[in-house]
Amino acid sequence: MSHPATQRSAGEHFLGAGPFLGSGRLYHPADTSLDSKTVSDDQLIQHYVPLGMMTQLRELPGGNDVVPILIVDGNGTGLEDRFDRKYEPYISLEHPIFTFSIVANNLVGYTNIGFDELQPKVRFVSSAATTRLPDEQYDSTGDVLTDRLIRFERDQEDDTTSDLQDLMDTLFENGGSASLTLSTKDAYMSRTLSPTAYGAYLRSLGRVVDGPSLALRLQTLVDALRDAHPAVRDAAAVGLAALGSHRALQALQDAATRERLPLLRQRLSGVAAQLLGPT
Amino acid sequence: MLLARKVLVAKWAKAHAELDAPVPADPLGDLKTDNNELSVWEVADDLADLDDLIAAMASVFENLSSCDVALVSEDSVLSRGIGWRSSPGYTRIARAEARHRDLHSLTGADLVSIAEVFRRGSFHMFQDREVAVRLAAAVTRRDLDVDKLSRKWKALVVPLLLPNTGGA
Repeated sequence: MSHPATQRSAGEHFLGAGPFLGSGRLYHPADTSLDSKTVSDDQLIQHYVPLGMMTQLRELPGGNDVVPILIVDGNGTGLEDRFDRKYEPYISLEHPIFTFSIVANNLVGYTNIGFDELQPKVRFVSSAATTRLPDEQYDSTGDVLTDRLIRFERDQEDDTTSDLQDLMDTLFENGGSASLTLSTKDAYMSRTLSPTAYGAYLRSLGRVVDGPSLALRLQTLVDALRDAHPAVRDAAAVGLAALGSHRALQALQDAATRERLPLLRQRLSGVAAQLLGPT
Repeated sequence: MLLARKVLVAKWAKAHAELDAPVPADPLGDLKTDNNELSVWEVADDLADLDDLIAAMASVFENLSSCDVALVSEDSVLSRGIGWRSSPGYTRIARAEARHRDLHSLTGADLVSIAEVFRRGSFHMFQDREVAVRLAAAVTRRDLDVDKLSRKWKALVVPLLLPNTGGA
């Protein structure tokens, strides 16, 4: 095994779709660099993981090396396809999901696992350099929000009158924004939440007043612009309009360019125009 | 004359894009009736009063929200045999109340027919801050008391007001 990914220094982690697999794409909507790259512990934990990258750190038996397990989806279409099509925004249930491991600068293998097996593992990251939230805290806040979003849809609530926003404000104010964001995305990807319910969450996400979670909320909304469901893309645009960050401008313009539904294109362009100038 | 209905654009996007296909069910969720009546608002053909209407509707919003509206010609609805009558609209802008109508005696088939009309209409989308700008304009004109707005809206609108135009 001589892939450059294995030539890393202590404290660095390889990120990238594995050419050693012959195919596959890195699951990381925010990172447009498809090829492999090496980042530090701090970068991995502070930048990539909070943005929702499906990464988990673990210690392998028999060693004290903390290694990344990178999860990619591979469809066997080869490297050219990987470079041309860029990355997929979300893991597809139909695609195989791999974890692969590097130990002592060597790729020791990869495993094809199912989505059900993946799901409980990707909620938060644990390593020597970060502290995992207590499970009960993670589960309780995540469940409260998920339950509330399900009720929002079931009762056909409306943003103008629902108290969902109050709950969101409270949960974010009390901290745990990273776990909340990941757990809600998990709930959507596992189909616990419908696109309508997840859309309500995204709209509210843009309205939360919580400075520390701004970057995370921005990235979550930008990621959602690539969702397969129109209700989610539309909600992401509304959320980004509420957030009002110029950093979303390029993503909105790109989304408008690739959007096929005229009304959503109108929304995306309108929000981009709003961010560009006076209302 | 145009008729406006508050909608969620996400529910209409596919129906609007695929006009040859039957009306899907999702848009009907935006056509909730009460006593078999559907609330709509009048808008001038040249859209000159559309901003005022957005302010009128948003003046009763408790929470921050975007406001999407679908507009169709009055004739396109009435030509389907659907009746209407004037009724005061729910708004905190008094002079806008008279621009409200109820389409009445509606059947399920009528709703599908109305959805068919609306999906061919024009859609206008106003994000939170764009709504706030229109509310601020209404306050400035003294059509709306800023203190009647919910706390969240007031926080967004007050900074947009010119001095001595109300609030703050």
